[in-house]
Amino acid sequence: MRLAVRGFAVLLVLVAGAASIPAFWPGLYWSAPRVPENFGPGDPVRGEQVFAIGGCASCHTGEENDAQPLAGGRRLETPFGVFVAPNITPDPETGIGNWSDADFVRALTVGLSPDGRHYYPAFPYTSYTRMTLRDLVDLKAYLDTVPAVRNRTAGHDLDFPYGIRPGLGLWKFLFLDTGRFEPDPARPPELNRGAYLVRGPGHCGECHTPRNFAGAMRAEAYLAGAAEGPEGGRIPNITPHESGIGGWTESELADFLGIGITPDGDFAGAGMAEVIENGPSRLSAADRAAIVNYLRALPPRPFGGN
Amino acid sequence: MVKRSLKPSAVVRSLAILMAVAGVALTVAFERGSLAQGNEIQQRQDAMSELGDIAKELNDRTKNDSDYDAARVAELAARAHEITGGLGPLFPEGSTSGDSDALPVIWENWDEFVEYATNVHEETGRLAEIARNGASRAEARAQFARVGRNCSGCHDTFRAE
Repeated sequence: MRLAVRGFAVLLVLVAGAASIPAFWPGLYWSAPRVPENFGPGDPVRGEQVFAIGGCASCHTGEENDAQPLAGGRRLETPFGVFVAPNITPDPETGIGNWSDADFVRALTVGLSPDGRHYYPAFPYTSYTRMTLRDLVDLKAYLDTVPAVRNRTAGHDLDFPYGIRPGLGLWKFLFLDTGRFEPDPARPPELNRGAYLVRGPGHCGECHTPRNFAGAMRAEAYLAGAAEGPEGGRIPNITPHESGIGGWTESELADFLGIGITPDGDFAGAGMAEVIENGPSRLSAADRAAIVNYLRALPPRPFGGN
Repeated sequence: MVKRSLKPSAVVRSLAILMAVAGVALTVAFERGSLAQGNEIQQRQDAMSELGDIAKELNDRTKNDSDYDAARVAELAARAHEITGGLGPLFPEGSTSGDSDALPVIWENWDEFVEYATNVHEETGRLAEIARNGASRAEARAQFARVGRNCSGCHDTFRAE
């Protein structure tokens, strides 16, 4: 064998070996923030606010009229196949009742299950990774108060090769940027609050940012909207560009987040109506204002970032 | 060659003018659909436009305690209740011509369409009722939001982008 070919083969083996670590031993590669011993119990009242902005109900509650809250089963039809949201009620067998705070933090910050398997980023840990430990622990405390429902959800139904779960190790290696939100000391607290809410628990970018071929958000087009969103529909540009929210006043944006009304007296449709109902409508006016001010301070980008 | 006068006779001139006017009128009527459907498209567009104005004012009237006027809210909601009670006849089968945003799926899923119209009619009625009975601003706003969700629910499925 020629030296070049042999060298290439060795390189390939090394790369494959290295890549296998994130794939098969993810716990070695990603570590979640540690919950300190004396962190104290979570506050379920605060947790309910985190739950609202986190929008958990919008995915984890089924779509049927009699669906049990957070018991899972909802199908997300994406270009990669169908994801089925799991049960996150405190049922010990079919929900997350057996999870510790550390398990919960790990799931939401690095996308790993308690038994060390990768989650698909349809679960937006790519945004939740920015959440504070306090918010995460409070959220868990709130979820612990929700009625436990015994419901074993179906697995995902993904197209080949996306069903190969260890492959997510490579995806994460290439695209996942973990880490808590760091406030910018040069910006006022309200702007930092808005940035945290939008980039972290609000996970707005997961729908409003266009994605690349591998389904990762394109950072340079953050919140610029997408011709085809996660569930196929067109997602608006929410940067202050004329093709986005540039023509909206602060008051109109606040009213939109509050009750879903648009400047011409129409109402938010499709997925956004549900997002608003489960989320921003339940926040304080101050938090809604923080979100609005953050969005208005973003660099204006044309639709789709093009 | 003999130079013949090209001036049309008075009769011909009148006929030409009549035909031009008729042609314009027919085109306009055809475009607006009023010839084919008797004006329902225009009526429902006016109705929706009025509902939009009502929604804007209801928003302004329920945002801040200082602007809350329960009587006015009741009045606006009652008018919306009246309008939304008469939507069915404004959507005759297949009336999708001209600048109408109504989608053919309205008549494919007529029952669902009627359900949205019925719901918004009921919810606006409820808003009028609670405003008349002394609802707080927050209660009125919550009910108004409920109305709004029915607006968007219908539009999502049955109105073009």
